[in-house]
Amino acid sequence: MDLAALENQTRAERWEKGVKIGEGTFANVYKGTEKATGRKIAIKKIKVGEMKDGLDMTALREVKFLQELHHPNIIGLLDVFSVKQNVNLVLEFLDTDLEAVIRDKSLIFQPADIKSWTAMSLRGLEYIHRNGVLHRDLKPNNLLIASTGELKIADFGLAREFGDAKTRMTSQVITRWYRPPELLWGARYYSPAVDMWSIGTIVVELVLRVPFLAGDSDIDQLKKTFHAMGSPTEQDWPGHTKLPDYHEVAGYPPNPWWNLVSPLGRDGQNLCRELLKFDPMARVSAKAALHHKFFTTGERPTAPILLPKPLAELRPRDIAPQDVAGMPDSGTKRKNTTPNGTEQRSIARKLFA
Amino acid sequence: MSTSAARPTLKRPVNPVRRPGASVGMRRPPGAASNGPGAISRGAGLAPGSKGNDDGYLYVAGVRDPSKRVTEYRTEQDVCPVCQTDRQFNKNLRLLVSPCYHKMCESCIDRLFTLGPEPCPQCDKVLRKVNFAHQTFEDLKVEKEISVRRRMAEIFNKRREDFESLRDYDDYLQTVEEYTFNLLNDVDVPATEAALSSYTTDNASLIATNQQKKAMEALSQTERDEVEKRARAERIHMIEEAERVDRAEEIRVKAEIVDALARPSGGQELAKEIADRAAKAKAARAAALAATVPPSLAALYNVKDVDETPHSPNSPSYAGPYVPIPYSDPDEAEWSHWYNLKDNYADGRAGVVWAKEDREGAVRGGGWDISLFWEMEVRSAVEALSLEPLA
Repeated sequence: MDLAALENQTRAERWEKGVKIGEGTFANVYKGTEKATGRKIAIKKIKVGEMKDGLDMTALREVKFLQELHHPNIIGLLDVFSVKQNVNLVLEFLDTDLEAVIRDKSLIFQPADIKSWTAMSLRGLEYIHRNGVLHRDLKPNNLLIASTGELKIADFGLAREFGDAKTRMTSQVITRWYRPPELLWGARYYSPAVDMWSIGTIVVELVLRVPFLAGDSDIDQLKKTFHAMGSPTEQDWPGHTKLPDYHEVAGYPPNPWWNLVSPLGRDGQNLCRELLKFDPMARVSAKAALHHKFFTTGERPTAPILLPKPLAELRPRDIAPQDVAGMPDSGTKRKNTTPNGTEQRSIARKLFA
Repeated sequence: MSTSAARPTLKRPVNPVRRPGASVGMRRPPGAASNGPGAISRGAGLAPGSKGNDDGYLYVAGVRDPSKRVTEYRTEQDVCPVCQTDRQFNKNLRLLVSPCYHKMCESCIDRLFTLGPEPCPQCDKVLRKVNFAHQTFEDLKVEKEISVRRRMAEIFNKRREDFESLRDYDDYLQTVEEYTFNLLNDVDVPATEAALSSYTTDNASLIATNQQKKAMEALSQTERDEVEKRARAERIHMIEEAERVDRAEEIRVKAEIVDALARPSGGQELAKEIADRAAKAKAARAAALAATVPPSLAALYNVKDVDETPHSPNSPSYAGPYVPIPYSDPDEAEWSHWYNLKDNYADGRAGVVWAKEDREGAVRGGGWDISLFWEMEVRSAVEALSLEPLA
């Protein structure tokens, strides 16, 4: 046995694999424990052997970025090891996600709770951006909540580094409801501002408890956006008419949409307006947003441990073996472009699948 | 829930707000359309403007504005409860709603109320022609609730900052909600109306101030600045005008005093009297000016009782037990002072040149910014210098 294999074996032996809690196209997720401490973990087993074209791109991205990013508000990758043909990722075990929290109508949010969630996601995002990475798939579904109430950004399957000039990036990223107008118009050179828009829509969603801009196609998404916020003009977004897929969606009058988030107070409304500016250059950066007055005045953010959480029975359950057996994936690659409606999938599957 | 019940202070919940344009109560199940009392020809086409959609639902017809929102509700099954005219008989039948939430058609309204106030044929409340309004929502209860709430919001516009404590504010909101409930469900209406009118007279000035505040908040920041600027110019103009008057008056008074002193006798007393009179007139003018100059609108925003102690997402700042979340603020990092970012660099790389020029406008609209990229490069060049060497 060579050294690498030996190393791999000692790593694999640190973790105890438990029952399956989720299954996706390219990975299965198992509950597990750390043998030494008994700490709960999740093991994501990537099916390499069964894939025709090698390791899935999203899995590769996930490993690549999670290995480098370490922050309290980002899901922790504890270890990677392989068993036979498969790659196993050892991740922090997290109870639930923000979407489950938003959808649970028995929970009541206070403005201070929303402030706390916003602050935590911005902190994680600031770190991601500072390290030259775009997340490109922020949505309540991907903001996981630990048992301590801390929010952690997960799912780096679509992340990429933003670096050199003249590299075109794809505009087909970010779940549609959280996608900024520049991507809907096909911008190929964009900036961390795309993630800021997603955060903005998530903050509004936290207040409304329904997705803010829920379009059912890309064109409809633009219409919904401008219906809510008014069509952009050359003045408030210079250069938008030059975007590759630009088509005119004019004629919607400006609308004081920030009244929707009036429970957050004037500073909160102001932050939302900063986050949801049409012009990506004018949109606030994660760092600037963290220094916004919203976080430093008025009610203080709720301590994470006191944040509302769904009841225990809503947390992920073990999947019964018969359910797993009869659950072939539909074959659609996990692509974030079709937002999943209210369909109740197992949390763990949503997280990792 | 247990966590929120254990909160130390009573806070106002964030009410789920409905999105604009979400069609609430605008749907009917299929089949409901042809069950109405006035449906003579079953399924004989839908009302103009109504259309079935994919999920088999029938969207209620009505007059719609350009954004497809129903502004006036009407159906094929409309029947005037007074004269029993239906849409088959009169294609242009238009039912209006009275302040007592009874419907009747326009011709009945003309017939009954042209000669002045008359009792409602259904509930005997005295009505006037002008008080009939068109119906927006299918459910008249919704219609009523909206108008009652609109009225309440107009009067009860106190804000959190108008109260000493959160408790007082909550009590106030509770009272408003009780009045609203009474008006909606016709409980104790005379007493409630009396309470409303006494509240309105007692708080007239505060209500007006808060309405002004609300109008200001509805404006965008630039419009607000504009209003503020105009008000400031106005104030300055008034003050300058007053100063001009003051100076002219002073010169005149001085001349009078000199004249008085020049008199052969009693000049001293007369001069003193003139000076006193002038001083009094000046004070009166200043008082009048202070009363007429509009106060700065910014003064309206003097919010009291706001926690101004600095706390930031970077520092331990959470309500309840102290639970810090570690956060490494890049501004506090050592290396952040090791470089100064310039606005522009002589960067000759092809990609950079291309992005700077942006001939096709491909970069500007998408928000890609060359300075972001420079910042990262410069930072990464110095950041690692702060790391301890590996042991």
